[in-house]
Amino acid sequence: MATMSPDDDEVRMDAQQEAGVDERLGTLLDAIEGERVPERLLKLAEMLQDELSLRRQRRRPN
Amino acid sequence: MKRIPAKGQSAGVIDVNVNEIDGQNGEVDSVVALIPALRAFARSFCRNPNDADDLVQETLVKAIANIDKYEEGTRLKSWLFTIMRNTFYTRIRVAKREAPGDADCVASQPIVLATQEWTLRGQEVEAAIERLSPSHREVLVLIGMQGVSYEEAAEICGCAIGTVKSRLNRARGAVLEMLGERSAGALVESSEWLAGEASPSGRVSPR
Repeated sequence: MATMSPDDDEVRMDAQQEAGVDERLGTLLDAIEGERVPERLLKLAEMLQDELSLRRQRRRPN
Repeated sequence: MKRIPAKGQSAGVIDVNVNEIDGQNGEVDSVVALIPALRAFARSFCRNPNDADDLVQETLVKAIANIDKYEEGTRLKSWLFTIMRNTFYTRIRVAKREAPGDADCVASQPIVLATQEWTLRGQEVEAAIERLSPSHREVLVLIGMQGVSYEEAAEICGCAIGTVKSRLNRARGAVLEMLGERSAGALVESSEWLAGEASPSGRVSPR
């Protein structure tokens, strides 16, 4: 039967805490996702998507 | 919004707006869906959200101009992150050449507050991230926030996977420490590191 040393306990606690950091970081990303995207960025994103689609069509004409 | 594991990922998840990608205009919206991730990564370089959006804009313009260099099979998100990072550090190098005495150029500019939403919801975490060195901050944002894999982060940052893992662990530890949540046993190492590696401004200085 495996025993848990104080070190193991500490490592596991750190892992939980670090996962908590990522969760909090995720809330920052969620906040950005909730923001209005500037029109200039939307237009450029659509232009890039068009370019990618065109390139894909040229490479696979069928 | 649905969180799903991304292809080839070994760390975390990636956010994908399934409705947008699965919709009739999925082709158009898939790049649009990457905008929040790009804006978030840009804010690891520029605290001012307007400057960060300018960096996103420059990244997209460069991507369009260099579309022939994009290799099919490469994750678009990683390619865009790489362009953004290179664009930012090129700016810093140019700024250093033009004004050698003003190396921490962005840090010396007046800082405006980030958006209210960002500030209110993540004030403590944001403040902690701000204090990280740039090389640790970018790894934490890429992997911890965006769910990019170790491999992709190493490619984006131009360093070894081991370096990425080490920076990530230290960055997470330092953030925990700054939030007052780190176990006592782990404080010694990270506090020594924080004192030794963080730049005086905590921002901008390239490695």
